[in-house]
Amino acid sequence: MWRNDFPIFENYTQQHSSPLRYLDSAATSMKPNAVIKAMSHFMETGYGSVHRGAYRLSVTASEKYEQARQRVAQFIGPEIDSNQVIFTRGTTESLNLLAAGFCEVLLTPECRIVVSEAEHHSNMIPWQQAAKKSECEIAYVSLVNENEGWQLNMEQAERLVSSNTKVVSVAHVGNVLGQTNSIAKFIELSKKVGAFCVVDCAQSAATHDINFLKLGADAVVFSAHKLFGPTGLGVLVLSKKLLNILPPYQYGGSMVSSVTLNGAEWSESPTKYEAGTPPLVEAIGLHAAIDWIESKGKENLKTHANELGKSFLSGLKEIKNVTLYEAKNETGSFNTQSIFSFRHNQVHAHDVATILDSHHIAVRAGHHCAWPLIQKLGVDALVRVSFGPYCAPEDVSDVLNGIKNLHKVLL
Amino acid sequence: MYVSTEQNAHNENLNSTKIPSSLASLYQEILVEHSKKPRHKVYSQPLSCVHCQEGKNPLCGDEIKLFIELKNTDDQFPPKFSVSFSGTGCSISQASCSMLCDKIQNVSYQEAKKICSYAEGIYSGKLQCPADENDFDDDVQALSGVAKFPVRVKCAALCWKTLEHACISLFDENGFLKHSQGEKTQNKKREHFRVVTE
Repeated sequence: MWRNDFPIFENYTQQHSSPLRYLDSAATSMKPNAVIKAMSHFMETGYGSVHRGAYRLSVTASEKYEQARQRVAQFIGPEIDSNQVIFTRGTTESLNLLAAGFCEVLLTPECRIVVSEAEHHSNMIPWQQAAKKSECEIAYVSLVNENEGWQLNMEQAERLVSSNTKVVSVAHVGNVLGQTNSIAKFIELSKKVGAFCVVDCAQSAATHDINFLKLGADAVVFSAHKLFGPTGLGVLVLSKKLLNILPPYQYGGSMVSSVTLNGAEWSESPTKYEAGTPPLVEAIGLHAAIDWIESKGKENLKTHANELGKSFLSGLKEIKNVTLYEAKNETGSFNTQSIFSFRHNQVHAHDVATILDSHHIAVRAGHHCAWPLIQKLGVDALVRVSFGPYCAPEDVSDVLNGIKNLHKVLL
Repeated sequence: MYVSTEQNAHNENLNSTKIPSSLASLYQEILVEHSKKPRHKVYSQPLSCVHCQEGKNPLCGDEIKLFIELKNTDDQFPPKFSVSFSGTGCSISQASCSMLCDKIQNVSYQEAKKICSYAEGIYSGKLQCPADENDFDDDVQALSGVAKFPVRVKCAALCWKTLEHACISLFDENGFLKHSQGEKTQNKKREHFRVVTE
């Protein structure tokens, strides 16, 4: 579906005389024409300095940048103000900003941070470092295998989110197993003890409702590049409560209200958190990407991924020598959408990826920036297949055929 | 909408027994054979080992350990040594380990350096090999196909870089042991280090 909106597929076919089977959308998504054109059109016609010039190009560039911010706010929820939306370099920087900020103003040796052991490194290492610096505790919610399905142990989460817990940070959708975690429950647990709740929506923003601020979360983060937008741009949405608590993350131009040789005072959010020249063209691209997503409908994108996922899963289960690491969603149902990880019992994940690439099938192999999770599963590497709106049933049949025929090369 | 004109001709390739030529150059028969039946692979540390060196490829998750066994410790001449390995990884990294251990048997540090340099020339593509696998002088030349797969070069390089690191720790420039006699018999566990692909 919607494959024609993404020029890379036609270009790839022309260049390689073979269609591209792109099954790595969980790493980064392809870009629709609308995004590419919006960015290049803006650079050709409207580019200027943001919030720094009195000339007309600067004024309109500033307006476009702020319109993009407003569009992101609307995308998340109608009650979100644009000053709650902070542009960063990506999900990783958003999480680092939060961890560094909490470390500076909130965390003490008596505190606890709670994350899950299934997190992407970007939602684990910043918290580990914050815990080390503030000499506080970090506790991990385990991933457990119940009835052949991996999921977070929510009973344990209830115990871990204790009265001294100050931050709970968890992914909405797992980047390795694709499980949808019980964010509502994490928010409820956090609120009960007065902890701040951070939700990593990097893998869910394109297909799920991510307005967790409405439920009481304090921060939502995601990246533009997984949302069919450009690289180099992330989003951090803060609750109004948190806006006044977090200190700046970086220092420099734009983020100050006054500067003397003795020091400086900070401006208000969002500029307080956006030191330096902002990612203007990238913001224009994200604006166009959100327009594209909403013109297709998140539900339709989700349904499409779900159909491909079900078809892939049923085919994969028929293949010998493959171990699938199935995950369960918060509802207890098996994950059938978008992201799946498996290993071939006789062909190493990296060889699987190289062999599939020879058939123009792009999959991810390795630890997927989630070493603790991979260690928990007791493997050294996994193959991950993930679907985007440009994927087609032929992508599923080709990758399944490719997996079936791995033995022709190595066995 | 998805365009059916993209109906792929390569579906036939997926189902056929024909291996794409690019893959055939990577997964040469000798290499596959080494990966399936690695030489000098051990499952516990050899008692006679004087030095072990871990190597890890953080991007892939490949982890190996090289065990260096000295063959003579006569202070008059640089010692010779042999290497065995343990660890997990893809077929390229395991085959490369196996080939390394085949080559590094009863050699001096100076000889090992030359072999490492030669192997690097092969897997990086700086040294040309005969086009036909049957003409290979030795098995290491089966790593020649790796050069065309930049992301896999690090898989082949891991064990060779690990050995270089181990040798630098263990030997002086003349190939004599750096450590005192008392330390020679101790197994030394070194920290992981990263192999960076150029």
